[in-house]
Amino acid sequence: MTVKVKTFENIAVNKREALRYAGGGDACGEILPIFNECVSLAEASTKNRVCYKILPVSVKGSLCDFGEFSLFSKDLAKNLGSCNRVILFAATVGVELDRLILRFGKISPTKALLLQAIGSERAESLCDEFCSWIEQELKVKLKPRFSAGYGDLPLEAQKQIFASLDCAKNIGVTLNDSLLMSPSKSVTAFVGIEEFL
Amino acid sequence: MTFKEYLQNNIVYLDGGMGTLLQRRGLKAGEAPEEWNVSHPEVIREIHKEYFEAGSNVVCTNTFGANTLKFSREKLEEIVRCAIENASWARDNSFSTQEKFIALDLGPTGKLLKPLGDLEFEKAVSIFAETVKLGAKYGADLVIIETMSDSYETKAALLAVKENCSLPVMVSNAYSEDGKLLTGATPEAMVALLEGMGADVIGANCSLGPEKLAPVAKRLLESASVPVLLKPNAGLPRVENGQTVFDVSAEEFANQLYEIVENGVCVVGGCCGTTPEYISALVKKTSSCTRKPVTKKDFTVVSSYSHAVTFGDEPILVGERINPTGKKRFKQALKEKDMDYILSQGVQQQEKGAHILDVNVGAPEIDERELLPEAVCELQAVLDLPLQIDSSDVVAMEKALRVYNGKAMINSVNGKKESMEAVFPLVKKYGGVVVALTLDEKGIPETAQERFEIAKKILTCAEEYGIDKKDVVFDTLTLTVSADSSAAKVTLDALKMIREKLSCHTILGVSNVSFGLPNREIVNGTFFTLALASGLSCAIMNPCSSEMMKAYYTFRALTGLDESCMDYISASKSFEACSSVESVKAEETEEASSLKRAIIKGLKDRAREITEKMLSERDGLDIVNQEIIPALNVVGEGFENKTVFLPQLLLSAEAAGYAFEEIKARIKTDKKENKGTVILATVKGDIHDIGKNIVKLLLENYGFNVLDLGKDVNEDEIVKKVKETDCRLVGLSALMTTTVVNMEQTVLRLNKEAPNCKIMVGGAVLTEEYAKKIGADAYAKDAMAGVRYAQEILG
Repeated sequence: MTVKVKTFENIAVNKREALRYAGGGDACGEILPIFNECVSLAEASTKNRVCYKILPVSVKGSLCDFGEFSLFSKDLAKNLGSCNRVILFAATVGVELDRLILRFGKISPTKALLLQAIGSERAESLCDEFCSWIEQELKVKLKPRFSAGYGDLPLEAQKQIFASLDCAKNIGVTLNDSLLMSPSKSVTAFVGIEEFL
Repeated sequence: MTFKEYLQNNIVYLDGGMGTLLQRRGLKAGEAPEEWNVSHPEVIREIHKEYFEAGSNVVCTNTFGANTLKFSREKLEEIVRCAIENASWARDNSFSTQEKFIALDLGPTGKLLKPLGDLEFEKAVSIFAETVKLGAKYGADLVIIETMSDSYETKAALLAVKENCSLPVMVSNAYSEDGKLLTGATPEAMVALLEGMGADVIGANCSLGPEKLAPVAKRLLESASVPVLLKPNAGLPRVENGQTVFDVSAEEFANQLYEIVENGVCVVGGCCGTTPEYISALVKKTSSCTRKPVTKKDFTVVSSYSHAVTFGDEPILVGERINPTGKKRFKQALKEKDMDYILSQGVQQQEKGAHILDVNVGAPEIDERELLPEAVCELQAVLDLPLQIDSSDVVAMEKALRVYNGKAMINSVNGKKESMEAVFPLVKKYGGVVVALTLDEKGIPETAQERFEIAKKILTCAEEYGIDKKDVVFDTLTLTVSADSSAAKVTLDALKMIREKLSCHTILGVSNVSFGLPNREIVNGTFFTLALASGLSCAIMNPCSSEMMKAYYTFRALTGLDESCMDYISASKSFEACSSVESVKAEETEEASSLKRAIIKGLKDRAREITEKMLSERDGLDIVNQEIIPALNVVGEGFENKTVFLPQLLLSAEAAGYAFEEIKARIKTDKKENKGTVILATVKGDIHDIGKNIVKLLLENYGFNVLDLGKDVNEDEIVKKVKETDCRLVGLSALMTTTVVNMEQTVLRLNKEAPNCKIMVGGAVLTEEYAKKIGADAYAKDAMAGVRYAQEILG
């Protein structure tokens, strides 16, 4: 199955969510201008890219068979349930945000913390945006996202996901030796297609 | 005919896609295409043969992912050998008669390089080197480095080719729709880097169809002095009846590339989705095109990982502040390997408008050979300005040039034979624009004419090394005007002569001129203006000096470089701000001037200003104990009672850090109160370090000496450091369930080998219970808890 690449622009920042990731509290007083500055910095440096493919899936017990590869996971099997098809995707907000975090990690830990939080929010929002786009594009209803590391699906599954999507070539996301992704604000997930509308 | 000879006068046709064709012949998803060189040689041979028969001059071996990260050495050798044999077979058995060459294909490793990823630069070089050596051994005619989306990895691959064979090399990058690589480089930046290192052909491939890659091709043509390559996809893929098809047909592909070839691209082929049919159409369509000559560009260019800086009418500012000469605080930072301090100097200069940063870390007791490359790596990780590598130690210089992600400025060479013999080979190998000082064995000449003669001598020698004159920038040496009243004039005259008669660019360190005079800033600013008017291209200066920036903005406004004087107007606001600070200070009320309040509110600059003022009346330690610590306690308690949240806590800690920095700069020797050392590390495998960094900041605020081992630290190193320093408290952090295991290992080793050292642990996945289970002495649920435990243990 072919991997496709889709880019997204101008996804609004959910500031409340970003602040929640940063350890709570309201952006008030001295923090507010700094927070807003970080939001602008993050917005200017994100490049949203998603690569994805549609795979067939058949679930037998805890074996999820996707045709080109299969995984054992009780929880993923449960999540995919009666789906016949699944979307496998990798999404990233790009490497520039990691540079910003690295930069402010050295000179302003407050900004580094806020950028970390905003980055996580950006990645989540991108996934939401992608999924609702897919729902419209394919006229389908999707199940909740499921990633390696959730429940009993080990991070090891990332290796198969990366091989299948060729993330490095398609969107510049790489996997390091401890199975973490670079750029760090990246997500891979399975999303079951619940029904075709 | 050799490939290089053929390249000189002909349009060179490359081959098309391999992956799609292999899939059609049964390659499964997830299966390594490189294996097919060995297991299905007949398929690979047939594809190569079809390309040769379609008219390709060059076929690329099926070795895109053939490297030691994916295959064992033995397997790799078998793959490369078979791949070249397969291509040779196709060359010998295809019936077409054009010139035919075999290119060893090198694709990306699939890993991102440090610091953003986990692959060491030198490791990347050695991975590529293995494949290159095999390619040369089994008889490839040339090397093609392709589909690289990171400038740093591209440099590693090119360096490996240059160091391990003498084959010609083509380098092609994958640009996104915004005309940049995924890690940020523009086509101009890539040309600067690759041409500097001696690539024979530079280009773009993959990612997009010919039409969308055309703007990138145009920019490459406008900046490169070597032939430009284009190897686009057949547009974008879509699935039709279960088959992958691409949206640009062979005919459209050929038509679109025709335009591009007419514009001067002379090495063409196809990437994903293209087949022998596409190459055949392309050859047919463009066979009537005349091969355009490659035009040599005379721009002087340096680059960073993201962009190129071109010398021209616009004066270029080289920030001089990363240099320990005459700076006590900077020397101390170097001794302590306090990279954050060095970076803050870089960031500040960028904010003030520097275009390039000079990096000099040479001082007594400093191992420059270790520190210079380290500083370069740290700076280029967080700053996108090109760097000027400044060292008199050629070994340190080479180490820094090697790891530099771009085309650097090199400071400096001079007219002495010994200097040219040492520096020019480095410029040739790594690329760069070298600063040439007009002095030689006889010293600095007193007249402008003699300095000009030395410049000519240097140029002649540079040419012998194959260095173009555009890559030499002359420094006619600023001497002190208070010691010799004609000094400035001679410098400027020589500058003018070099600019006019040699058409070379020039550079000066401006500040020396005023040595020994009062109000040095004013002298420097005026000298800077005079130099600019005499044809100075580039100044090594302090961008934080308002007199210098006034001169810079005024000069630009007066010489037609500042449209509607907009830059001058916006900069002049900051000039006004500088002079009004004094009056604001005078109006301070008792309340607003309290350091304690500034820290609680997280006002960094206020905290610094107040501390600076206080230091003239009060002792540093006194300020720490009576102002800073009480303020931090208020915020810390607020955090524990959940009335203050993490961002506010951090901001206050930063403000306190600024106050400390001020005190540190004043105290003659490092006698600040030291409550004991805490070693911190994020355990092996984990790269999340924000939590650890927060703990570090707070501990330092509370007077602890923190030895930060960084992230992804293996247990051996932690144990070694603990023993070495006899440290009584270690803090370990881990954020992932997968790395907590490594934390447990480390705790086990520490408990055995350093039983007197207490261990506190923290991180998102940890709990009090788990901390106890793995044998840690304490669980720090947050940064303040870490501080409290340190106070309990170290007092």
